Amino acid sequence: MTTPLHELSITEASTKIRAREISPVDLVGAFLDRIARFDDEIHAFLTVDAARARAAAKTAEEEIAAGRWRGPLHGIPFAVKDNYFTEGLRTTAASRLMADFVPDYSATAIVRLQQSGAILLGKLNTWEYGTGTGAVDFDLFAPPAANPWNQEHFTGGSSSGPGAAVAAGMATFALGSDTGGSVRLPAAGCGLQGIKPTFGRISRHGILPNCWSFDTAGPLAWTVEDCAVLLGALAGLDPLDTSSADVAVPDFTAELGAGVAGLRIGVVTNLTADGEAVEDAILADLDRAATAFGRAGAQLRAVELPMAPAKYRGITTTINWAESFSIHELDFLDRRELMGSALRDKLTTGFMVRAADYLAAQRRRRELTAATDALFDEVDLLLSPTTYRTAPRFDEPEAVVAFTTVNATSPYNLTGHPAMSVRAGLAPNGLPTAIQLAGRFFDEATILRAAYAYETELSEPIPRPTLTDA
Amino acid sequence: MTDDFAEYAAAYARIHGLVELSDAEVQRLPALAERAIRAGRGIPRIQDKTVEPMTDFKAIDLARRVWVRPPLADS
Repeated sequence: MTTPLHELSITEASTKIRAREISPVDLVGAFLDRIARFDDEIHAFLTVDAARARAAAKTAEEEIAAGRWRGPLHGIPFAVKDNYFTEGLRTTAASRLMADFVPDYSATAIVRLQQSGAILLGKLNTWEYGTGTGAVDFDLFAPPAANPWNQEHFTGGSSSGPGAAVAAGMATFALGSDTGGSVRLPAAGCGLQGIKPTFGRISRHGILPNCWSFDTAGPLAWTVEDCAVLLGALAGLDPLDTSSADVAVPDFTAELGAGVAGLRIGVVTNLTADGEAVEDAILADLDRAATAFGRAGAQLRAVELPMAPAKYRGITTTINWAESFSIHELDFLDRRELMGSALRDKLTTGFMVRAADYLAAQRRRRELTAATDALFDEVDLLLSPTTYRTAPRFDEPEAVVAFTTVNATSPYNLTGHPAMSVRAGLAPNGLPTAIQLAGRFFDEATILRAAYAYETELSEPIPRPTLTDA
Repeated sequence: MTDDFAEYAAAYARIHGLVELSDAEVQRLPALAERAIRAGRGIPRIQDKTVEPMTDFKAIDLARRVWVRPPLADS
């Protein structure tokens, strides 16, 4: 059976484009048709740039026909969270404060993708400024993105549009940003692969900040191989970003097929604290993944993080509240009425964070980073679930907040280590589950290698969600 | 306890010019103040006075630049 255009991975589509079996014009047209057909239900996009996408596809088609193939992203359609600046294209961050803002330059990440030949379809839904309290209050200028697996359910945030768009087949891949889990949580909620690379790996120039200490750009895609291709295109020093790291960028696809034999994988045991719980289906899929890694030759051992993830979050929230307030102070004081309640509540909290507490958090962060990094003397990877529950229903507000605030993502925002959410299975409720793999600083290649083995050899394939016309 | 935070938060907001709060915001203010203060106080303090905050944010430096000096005698 022929795979529909909207379900082709980057590598599959690229192979066909290069062989001139399909055209970027057809590919872009297929995605624009999907968006027109289904986005009234999914609400993944805030802005669709159909005219420029079609023009870019035509140019790509002509370049490839003339023998000027730029690489695996040439002619591949993508979309970005609406906190990335896009030259000449409205950038709102889902906020009434920026409803008509059109940047005159593009984020470095966008520039790099477009230089590689990728084609921007439009801008994707997000929580306001990519932040908030975890609550979804339905009071922004656009409704929240719905989960393609079940549209009564939350996607995970804050990169809600990227999660929804890729899962719904409205873009081959998407870019999000991750401050406390905002790439990995929607990836987990929507059944995608999503990687938060090492802090400093991808330039943040031109991305609206949420929290300077933690913000990290990252891709979401259907396959691990696609994430590897994307990381290669996105990574590297950018003089325009002071947090950008001057570290060599390897070919992240080179070792994908090397398997997990001999890798030392630490299975995190202290997942919960203070009455938190992990759903049975998620624990079962974690156990299944650990067993599969072990059978494939990985050396498993139980590992405790220096503190339970909730304790890391106790530190990241104080830092995040304070920095977000600093970023938005003037708007908070002068134009607060334009903000949604989740942003307003977060900033009100940030307004009252004491300086001594902020600095205590940053001092503790230095110690915890060292203690967490020391674990990688003993293991190559740390394995945990990404989330502790499947994506909740919108009409369960406490569960929606808990999806964001009770999980295993924030330790690696605090420390800066790379971490990836990997699709694990489908729970009895039909919603995706996910595991998380974390690794050493700048060793995304080992994470991708284990994730690829899990996706392609050690787990059962999962079909994409099916959308039907309303 | 929330009454204490209500008083604190109202005074804090007034001092900082945040005076035009909606009724809903006034209702939420004590809980948000309590959240901010309790979270901050809940962060374990470090006795070693040489441990600096992590302010460079350069991931490449995180592992190698963790302070290794011994604690000061009077810390």
